[in-house]
Amino acid sequence: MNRRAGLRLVRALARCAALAYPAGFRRAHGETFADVAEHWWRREAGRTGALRATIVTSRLLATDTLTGLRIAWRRPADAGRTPRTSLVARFGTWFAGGGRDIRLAVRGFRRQPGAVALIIVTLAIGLGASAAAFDALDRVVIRPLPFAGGDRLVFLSMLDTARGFWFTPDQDLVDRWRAQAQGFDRIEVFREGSAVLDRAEGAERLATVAVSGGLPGLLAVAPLRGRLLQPGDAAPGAPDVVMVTERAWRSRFGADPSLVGRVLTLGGRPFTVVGIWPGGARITMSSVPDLVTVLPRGTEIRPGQLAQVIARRTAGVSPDTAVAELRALTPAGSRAADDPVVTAFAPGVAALGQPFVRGVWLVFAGGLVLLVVAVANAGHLLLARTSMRVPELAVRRALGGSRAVLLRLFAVEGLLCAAGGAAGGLEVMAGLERLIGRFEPRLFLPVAGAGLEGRAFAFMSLAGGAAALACALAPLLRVHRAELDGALTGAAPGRATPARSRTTSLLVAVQAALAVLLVSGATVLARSVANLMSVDTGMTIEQLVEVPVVAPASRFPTPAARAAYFAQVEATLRSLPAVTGITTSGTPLMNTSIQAGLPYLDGEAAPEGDDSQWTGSASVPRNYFDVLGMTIVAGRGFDEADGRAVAVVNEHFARSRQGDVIGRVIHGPDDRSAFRIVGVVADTAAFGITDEAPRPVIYWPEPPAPRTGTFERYIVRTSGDPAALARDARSRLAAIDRAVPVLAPETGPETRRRQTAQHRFVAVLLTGLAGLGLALALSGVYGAVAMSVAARRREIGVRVALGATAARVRRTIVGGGMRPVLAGAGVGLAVAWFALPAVDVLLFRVTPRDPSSAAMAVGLVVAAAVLATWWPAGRASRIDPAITLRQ
Amino acid sequence: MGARTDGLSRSAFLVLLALADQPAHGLAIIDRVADATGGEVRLGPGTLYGTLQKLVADGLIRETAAPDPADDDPRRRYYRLTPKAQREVRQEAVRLRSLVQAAVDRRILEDQ
Repeated sequence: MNRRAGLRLVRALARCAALAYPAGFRRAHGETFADVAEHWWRREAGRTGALRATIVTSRLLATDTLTGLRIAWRRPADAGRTPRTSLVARFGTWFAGGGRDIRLAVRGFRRQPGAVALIIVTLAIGLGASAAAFDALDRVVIRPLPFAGGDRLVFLSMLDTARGFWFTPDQDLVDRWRAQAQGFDRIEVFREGSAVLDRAEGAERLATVAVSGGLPGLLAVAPLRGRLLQPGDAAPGAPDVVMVTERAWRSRFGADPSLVGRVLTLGGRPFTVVGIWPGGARITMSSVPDLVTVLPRGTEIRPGQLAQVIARRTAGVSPDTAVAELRALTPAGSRAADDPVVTAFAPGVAALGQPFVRGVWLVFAGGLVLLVVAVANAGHLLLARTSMRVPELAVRRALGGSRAVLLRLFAVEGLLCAAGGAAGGLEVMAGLERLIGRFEPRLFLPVAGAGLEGRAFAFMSLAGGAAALACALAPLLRVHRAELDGALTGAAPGRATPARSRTTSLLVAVQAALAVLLVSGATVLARSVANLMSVDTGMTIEQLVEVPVVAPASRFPTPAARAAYFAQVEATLRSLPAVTGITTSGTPLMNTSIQAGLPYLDGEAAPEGDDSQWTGSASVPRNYFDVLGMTIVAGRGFDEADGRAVAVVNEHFARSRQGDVIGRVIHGPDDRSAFRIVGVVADTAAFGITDEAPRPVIYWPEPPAPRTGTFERYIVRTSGDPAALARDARSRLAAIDRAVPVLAPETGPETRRRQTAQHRFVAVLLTGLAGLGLALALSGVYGAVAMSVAARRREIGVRVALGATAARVRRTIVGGGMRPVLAGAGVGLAVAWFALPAVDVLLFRVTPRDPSSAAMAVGLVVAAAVLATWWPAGRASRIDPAITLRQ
Repeated sequence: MGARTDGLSRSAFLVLLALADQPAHGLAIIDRVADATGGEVRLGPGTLYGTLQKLVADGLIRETAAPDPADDDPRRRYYRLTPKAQREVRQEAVRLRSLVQAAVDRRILEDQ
């Protein structure tokens, strides 16, 4: 060990040890502590070396420090004379005085309940909103999986490297991996789907996740009630069992504890409920399942059904080794260029999609900004409150209260305010989470635990502590010794000192900057949502209702029975009031199915296989275009005489070809079968409300045949209220056959809202935050100007006496109040310029640096600030010099 | 180094013992105590000055001039025993000797 460093260390430790001793002792001997330590160190170093000397001396000093503390602790604070006690004891006395300060602070708060309530509400909004935003972020992005060995869990997926797409390994391959791979000790499968639950009060379609028997055990989920699904449940011939998720258990079964053991009818078959799946144990983030069922062993993966393979790496095996082993076990040639690739099981980030995750981050950033605005505002209010108390504080100081004692009083007040704010913040947070959960249930799972969980609590405490510190320090900025001393000699309290004006202006500018940032972000998003909601879908979506109908084979075993049932359904729908058309569709509205590749016309070369290109295709009834309100722009729609060999294409495809396409022969992208084009329809939002470039769509006439399947999707057009039609349809269909489950219809506007929910959700949240931020900033501006007017009464009185007009006084006050707002707005605009491109992925047909949105945000903040200054300025202009100057 | 009701505290006795021959300053006392106890007792600054302060207050030691004027460093304070201390050290030594005798009588020290 370096001799110099050792010596320096023990001398420093000796000085620290001296601090533990009473002040008198320290004055007499404090200086020599370091010398003694050095003496010891040299004595030991000569014999045993520098390191050992440092250790021995440090130990000695530690013992001495304890001795000093014991002495300081035992010594009574002789008659309140603090100077003779040690620093530690003095801190103790100072700290103990806090109890008195609590009483003082509460008394002070009672005198100004309005101001204090405002501070607490401000902090509650800031703390609650930011904690809710943090909680959402935590649950979606940060939190590790609540599963045992979560860091070793991965999704296994295959990558077709030649064509660049992902696919699921087939059952044989998974079985081979299970049998032979050493790098993964467990390989399980799950599949998302849906099932119709049939209950006395009506049928409904529930989201399900079907898991292989070992998956619950692999994830080490603890069932909320009952038991987990087990490998035995997947054995052939085992009774059908199901777990209900906590969310469905609470929302659909009223958290009924007797649900476990009961039998539910799913898809016409009885399933025994064996347990409640805990809400926090999300298998997937892309959906919120209601039921967890089990996949029969050996047939977990079926062609054409999207399954996910989840595996746990053997402890101690590196990811690379494990994947290399899987590759070696995968037979080459089963599919060209097959390449098993392991993707990390991030908590849902991939499943949720980048825009959504970015939106959650954005909302969190907005929450933080709001918190800063709230804390600045609360600090500002406390600052104003302190100005009113200058005489009181001056008296306390004159009676011997040191700056430290005043700091303690402010700290206690700040802590009380922050504690009140945090308590209110919990309410705000819970309310926000309930509200948000209604929009976006994926954010706040589980329902039961909504509110404070460990990390959100830590965030709230941290933010509350920071708020308390800020609230304690703000008034201290205000307490200048000179001013306090002056206050007792008759100088007017609350005079606007330059230092105080600077602090106030800075706080106002910060709030204005953050308000502009929040509002401009919200404005851009609001425009984006407005664009989404006004997208021309190319059909009369506002008048359509989608009515899904099932004809369970258990109830209608023969095709004839099903055809008869569907005929009855159709007649019932047709008989409903205000129905102007009825058709069927193979896919939900704005969710046309797709085929890889592009179509081509006779005489054109077949396009090269390119999986990034795809084509929409739909087999539709003859009245489809009429009922959906799609416009035929050339040729005609389908008529009864059309056989299978005709097609209608969309305008995008027609425009991509020279000349008229009517009458030409088109080849579909997959089987190259040929159709004669008879018409062209206007482009529609066939693939949903997205910003993607239009794609070709081909429609074929559906062959007229009786409806003998077990499912039909009717599209009904109404001239009246679609919501009313949906309600009517459901009740009338239920009346046809009480034993048949009836699914909930969805209206066109609902479809549009569902498709834009993600964008709207982020926009609504950010707009809410921006509204709160703006309101807080405005109250800050108002407070600052009102305070300055109150402090400058005499000065204004003099100005008026010297001939200033009311208008001039008002201009001066508004101008003075607006200066920091304008400066802050400028800074906020600059920050927005750099920050907003980060949300580009959330925007629909609007650029993040949209000038009109920025102008609107600045205009809104500035106009509102002018209003906020106008009122106190009006009060200033009415000051009567004769009265003011006499006071 | 807690206070002892039966006689002097151990550190006080050791300091008084260190000062028995001739006056000394703080660092010299440390060395003498360490040497007298075979390096077993190490007095830290707090213990040393705390003990010295208490001994001064009890009238057992007194500040004095440096025995050798050549050694007179103004930062050093020299201490010497008072007559009262000489009595107390003797009493303490006698008490300790009787205790050691008791141990010897019980053959506690035989295998040493």
